[in-house]
Amino acid sequence: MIALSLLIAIPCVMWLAQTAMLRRHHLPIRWRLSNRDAPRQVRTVGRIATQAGLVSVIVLYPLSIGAPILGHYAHLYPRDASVMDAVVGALMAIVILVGLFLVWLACGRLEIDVHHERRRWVRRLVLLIPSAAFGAIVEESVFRGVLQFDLVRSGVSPVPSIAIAGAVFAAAHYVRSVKRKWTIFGHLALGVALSAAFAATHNLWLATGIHAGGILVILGARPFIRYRGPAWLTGESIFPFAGVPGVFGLAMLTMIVIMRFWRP
Amino acid sequence: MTDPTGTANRMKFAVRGPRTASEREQLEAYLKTHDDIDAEWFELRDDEELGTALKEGLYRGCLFADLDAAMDAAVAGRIRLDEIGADTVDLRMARGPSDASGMTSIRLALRSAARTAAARRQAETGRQTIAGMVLSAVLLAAIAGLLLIRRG
Repeated sequence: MIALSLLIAIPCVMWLAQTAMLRRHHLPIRWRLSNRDAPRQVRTVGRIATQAGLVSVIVLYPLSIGAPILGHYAHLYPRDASVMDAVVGALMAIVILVGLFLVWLACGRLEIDVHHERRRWVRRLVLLIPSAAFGAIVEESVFRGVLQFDLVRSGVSPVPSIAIAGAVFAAAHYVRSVKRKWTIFGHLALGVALSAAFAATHNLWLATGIHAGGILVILGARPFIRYRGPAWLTGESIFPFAGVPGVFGLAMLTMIVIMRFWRP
Repeated sequence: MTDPTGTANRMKFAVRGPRTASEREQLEAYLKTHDDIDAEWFELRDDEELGTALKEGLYRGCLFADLDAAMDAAVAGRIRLDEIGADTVDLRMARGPSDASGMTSIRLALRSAARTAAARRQAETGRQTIAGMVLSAVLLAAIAGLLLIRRG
């Protein structure tokens, strides 16, 4: 369980960074990881600590099992025909999310409103594809390429490995103090879908494609839409997949992944 | 020549169809106490027809059950209260302020609400149409991509 130990170390590093910054600003220590009302520097250092923690896990895990860093990830991102799985995964995620948006638009559950200033949304759109790709590659490398890989390597069979990796992925999004906790069911469904993609294909292309496609649609639409709710229908904020139709869509995606991509 | 029924002196009013039984009661009670009104009832579903008739000046006034009913008509936009001449059509409410200045303010507010709601609706419809077209294009492109990959 090397991977799990490495992952648990991330919130510890984040908390130490937060505490050091709070002390530097003569602010009281917070027992929870929370940026609420904290000075900008505290928030920036918190973000850097999170990213540094994730990258450290990506780098340290292969070394800890005696594998070359690049070799480990080259094995998980093989240069063969399975590269196309990333494109298929991204397109499937786009179809599901855009389909949901269209239905909600028709039902008056989405309000179209440009609520960011032009310069900001243009910058977001320009950086959309690299942001989606980077976010998906980092998270997939950590939760599937390290955690689930380690579970399988330790002899855990596919179904429990999907459940554990999916649950840790969901829980990781709630390590920091968040505005709403009920969206965890959406993250759980997403974690299971992505973990199933890894278990089915034995590489990270499909999971990364699905993840990147989801980020692409959600971040791309974000400056232009407001969800009119109710929350159980449209989800909240950047989690449109957390509502009932979103979770149903993810369950459907998991089924498609298992039926269409499963390789023994 | 005399008019035994007195209809010649009566004002022709359109009555906006009640949404509830209590609105119907309010409207009927008002009409009972106003003999000078010759009422023609419109069903709720005939709002557009009522709006056109008011715009064409076929009625001296329009009667609503109360402010809620009038505001509902103004915001829904099927009766364009902002496009009806303020001096030609008398907007009334069966249950509303009795003083003239209060009613004048309410009429102004109703016209303003109708105007604002119409502008908002127009802008929203435009944005929704563009969003619908963009989302449909993305959806179709994604489906086409999946089909092409499957064939390849």
